[in-house]
Amino acid sequence: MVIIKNISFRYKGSSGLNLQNVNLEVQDGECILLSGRSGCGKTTLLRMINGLIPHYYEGEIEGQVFVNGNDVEKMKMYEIAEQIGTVYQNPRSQFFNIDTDSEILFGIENMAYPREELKVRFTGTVKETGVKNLLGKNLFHLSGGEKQKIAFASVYAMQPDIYLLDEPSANLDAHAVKRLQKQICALKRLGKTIIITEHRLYYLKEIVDRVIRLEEGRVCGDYPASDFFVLPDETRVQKGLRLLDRNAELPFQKSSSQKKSGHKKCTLDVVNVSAGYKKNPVIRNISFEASEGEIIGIAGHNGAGKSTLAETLCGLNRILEGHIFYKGNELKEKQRCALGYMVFQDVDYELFADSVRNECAYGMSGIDAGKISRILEKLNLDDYEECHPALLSGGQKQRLAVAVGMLCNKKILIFDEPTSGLDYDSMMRVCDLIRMLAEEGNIIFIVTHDYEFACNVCNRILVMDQGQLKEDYEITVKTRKKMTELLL
Amino acid sequence: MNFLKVKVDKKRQGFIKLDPRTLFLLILFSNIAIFISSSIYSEFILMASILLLCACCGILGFSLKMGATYFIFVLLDILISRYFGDSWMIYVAVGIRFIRKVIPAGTLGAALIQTVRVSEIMVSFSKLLVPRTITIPLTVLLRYFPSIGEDRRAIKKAMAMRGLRGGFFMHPVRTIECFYVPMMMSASRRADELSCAAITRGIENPKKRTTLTEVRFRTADYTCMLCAAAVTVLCIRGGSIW
Repeated sequence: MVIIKNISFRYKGSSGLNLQNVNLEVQDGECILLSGRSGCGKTTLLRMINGLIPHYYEGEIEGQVFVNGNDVEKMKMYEIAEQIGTVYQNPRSQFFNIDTDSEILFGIENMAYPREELKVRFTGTVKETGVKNLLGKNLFHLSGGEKQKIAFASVYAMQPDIYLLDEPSANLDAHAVKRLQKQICALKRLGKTIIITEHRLYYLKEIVDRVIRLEEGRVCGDYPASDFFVLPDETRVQKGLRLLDRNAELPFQKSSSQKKSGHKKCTLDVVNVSAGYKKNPVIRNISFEASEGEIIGIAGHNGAGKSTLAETLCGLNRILEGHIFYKGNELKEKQRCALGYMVFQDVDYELFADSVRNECAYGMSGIDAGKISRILEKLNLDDYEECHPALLSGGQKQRLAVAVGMLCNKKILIFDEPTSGLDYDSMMRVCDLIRMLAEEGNIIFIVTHDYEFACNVCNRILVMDQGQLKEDYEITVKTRKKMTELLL
Repeated sequence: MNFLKVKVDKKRQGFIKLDPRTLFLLILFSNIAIFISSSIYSEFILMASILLLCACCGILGFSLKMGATYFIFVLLDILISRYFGDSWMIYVAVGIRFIRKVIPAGTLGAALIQTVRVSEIMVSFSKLLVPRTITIPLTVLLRYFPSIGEDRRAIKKAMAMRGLRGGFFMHPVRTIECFYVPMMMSASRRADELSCAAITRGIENPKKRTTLTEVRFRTADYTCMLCAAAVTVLCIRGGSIW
């Protein structure tokens, strides 16, 4: 049982309170969802429960948290670890070993069980979590979903009573989300207490018992699941919540051809392109056309070749066979590099300079200062010109990367998972940004797993499967159902 | 540099498996031996036995590559000292000799990383009564190495898209600048997330760690240590016992 009594908390160096007077009781075997906008204190609350606050993160605390009757503040981290298991959002950096076997064993080896017990737990865990096919592999070579499976198994082996899941679906495709759903159900059947923070909500509909909604560090709603998942659409949008029901009707974009009544000029022509490694092409025989102003989603399972396609379009991969034409001229690798620009999921990798303004001018000689100001203003970054890029919020960093792309006169803009882990409001802001870019005559590609986002912004979908272009359709009433099956 | 890449994608297994403690001891011994050694022949014997050991541990390919590299450096050293010994080239020769002297211990270090799991290193440290304040940062460091590769690839792509082509040799300052900021950002984020993941899984537990794979001294370990002692003595005596 978890009891949170009158908790208020402020991180060291933070100006306002991050949690205010939070009271919450979670019964044994209950499954709770913490929802709310980004920065509402969900993750902070999880950290209060698993002891990272105050044992790792410092700050001012009032109130108490009890786990199974013990005060978290007075327990040692390793004692808490025996009762509470946490699976984090980013599968990339929550593993401590390089191979999968050691990773699964990591927690129970820390607990210093005798070798016999280790063996029993290891084989049991492998069987019950279904990770047999992943044993003996390098964690760096696994997909996000597979990494998370291992993280889950490692926690599972420790047999805690309470599971905390911090945005577990943020980096997963539809297939992996379904698997995650099953895994949570299985934990529930074992009678474990589960607390989940999440933006993607629809998949939890039949799982959670109770939903707590946080706003600016306060609890401002405690709903039984049966009330929460039937909230009318206007209410959930107003509260900044993502899609609640997979059967809900969403508005979708009119495709460009419908808009311009059949005037469709092909600008980018991809003919029979294969790319990847020489002996073993990752994508094969890809052909499609795209015109200015189109917003094209690229969907498919992990490992289907989505990122390779995206990278090839912006000149990061050599083409093994086939051709790419832009306005009738064939593009060589360097020209593709000059035309295409990708906004990474991890935007930090593409920001090099020490201020927003310098970032815009970085590596470009003789760029017009007026142009920089105009573009920064357009992207609402003009107030941050002297700010260090590292201090910007996630959305601002994304816009800064877009600003750089616009300044380099890129015509093909590619977004890699721009909305993973975003709340409704932030997602809509990304939609506005992308629509604006499309209206300026750019061709936009978006690699995404996000159904709600794709419905809102894309007018066409390319579906990749095993390195090939399986389907290519405009989003209309007719193709709608296909898309639902693909992304939900 | 791809030629000498240390492969950490999976743990190699040969027909002997050494305790990490033995490998640490061997690294220490080989360092002492190589810098005291007065004759090049005893150095050859040392290098040859290290390569043989690596091959037995299951990294034959790597050991051959290191052997070839070592041979080239020895050859360069001899050629330069013999034919250009009295010119400024002597400074180059000193540099080359230094690298030559570092190669044996470097080979052993790389062998350690390639054949031993992080958890085995942690257990052997706890057996050596090394305090956790040293063990934990060290293992985090071992975990950090492979992720540098991930970071490097992403940054190179980002640079190419901005037209910042040309590698380190063409634009050294710019390349360092471009790598520095994103690498630092990513390292601090990773360190933070890794620490959280580790402490919420009880890495601070003061009980003596256990492992599934047994870590203890076996015949192979004792044999290796004896050989190491013999080669070290040989190096110190400069081969004069023959």
